[in-house]
Amino acid sequence: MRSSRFILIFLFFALFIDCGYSQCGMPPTNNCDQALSDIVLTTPDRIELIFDSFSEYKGGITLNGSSIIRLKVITIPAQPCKWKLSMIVSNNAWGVATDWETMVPYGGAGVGVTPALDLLELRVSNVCNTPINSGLWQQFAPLTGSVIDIINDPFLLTPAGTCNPALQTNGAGSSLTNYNEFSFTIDYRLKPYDPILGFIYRPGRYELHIKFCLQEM
Amino acid sequence: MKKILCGAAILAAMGISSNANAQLVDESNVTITMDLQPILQLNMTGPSNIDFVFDQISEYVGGITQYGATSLQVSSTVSWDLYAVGYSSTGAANWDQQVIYGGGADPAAIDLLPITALEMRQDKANPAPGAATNFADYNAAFVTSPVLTGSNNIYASATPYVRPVDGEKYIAGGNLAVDFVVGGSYLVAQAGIYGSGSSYYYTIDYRIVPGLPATFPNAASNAGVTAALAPGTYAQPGVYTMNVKYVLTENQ
Repeated sequence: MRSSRFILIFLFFALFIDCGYSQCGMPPTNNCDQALSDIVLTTPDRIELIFDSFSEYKGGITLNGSSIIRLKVITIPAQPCKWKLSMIVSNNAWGVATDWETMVPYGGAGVGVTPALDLLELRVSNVCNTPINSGLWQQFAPLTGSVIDIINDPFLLTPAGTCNPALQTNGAGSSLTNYNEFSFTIDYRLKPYDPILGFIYRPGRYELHIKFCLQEM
Repeated sequence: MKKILCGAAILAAMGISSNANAQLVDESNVTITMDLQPILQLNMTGPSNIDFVFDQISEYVGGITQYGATSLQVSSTVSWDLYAVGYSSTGAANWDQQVIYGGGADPAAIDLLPITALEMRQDKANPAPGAATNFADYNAAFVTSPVLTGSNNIYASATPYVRPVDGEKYIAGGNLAVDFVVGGSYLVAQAGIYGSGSSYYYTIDYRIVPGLPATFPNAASNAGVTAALAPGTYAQPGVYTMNVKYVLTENQ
């Protein structure tokens, strides 16, 4: 009986470990070396945009190069290791799935709306311009869990060193040896002003999370 | 039962081992915080002291008008109301007397001058007036004294930061939550209008008419209830001061 209880506890923890990667999704293949591969965020993991002047509201705030990601993808010998990279937005399961998480509202209970997740604009690029929509401002769909793909080519395996803007480098390699293809710079822009409706957002402190997922495919 | 559990444990362990050593999944996280602080900017241009010096009979009779003495410019990211309030150190009713000229012993010489003796005129109408039964703003033109309607008399209160009730004058907006001007600025075009022509820019004229004798016949509440000095009395010569505060507040 005692050993049965031990086994049940073990299974409980095993279940947790198994689900550890569930948000990025488990890949169907097994050709890259998980132990040696890595995604590294070389910049701060908290980005704060404070709007405390009228001109910032009207003109917005752009943060260039606020996030830089470096990849190292190591293949298992003689296997076709191919990967994809994506961003997933989350509002921490905030009550309204389309909105930023409200940390605290400022001022009185006046009119105003909570910003939607698509208020944030992102621009991903690298030197070789291999990302999808490289250098273009993009927005998440206004729903928590929405995804923007950075590298995702289901057909071709483009090896490191190709450095072709028409191709998405997605083979084994590293930012140490192929920096221009295995590092990604992310710019952020927020403009809390609607050109038609004007200043509609309720003052307050809002938050969202972006998960960068490196995944074998 | 024990064998089944053992078998399940072995399978789970195999699963863990397979995840840890093979399929590539890795992630990094960034948290983005957006801090939207409410911006309410009121710029006032013009002198902070406005003097009315009455040293001619004609000035007593006709009063003194100071055109465009104050300009108010608003920039706001939230819906707002703007009002003016007159008060003194003694409260809402009377000016502060700083100096007495002459003997000052005449019992008919009154030193309690009504704050509502100050009249104002804004250059454009309140864009979002309340359902006031009286005057919703200071946009009425100055007309020849005496004026008994209360159309231009300043709102007086001993508590300047308590917004006027519905039925009192606002420069823009009103007491009710539905009476407000939306966020914006005189700096940017809204409906094609910007600068001094917009609802975010007001020019204020001032007028004081002492009358002869100096009873301030125009002094009245917004409902037109006179606050002039009683007949047979007159304003004691001297220096008087009062404060006009312009308050820009988030609509509530």
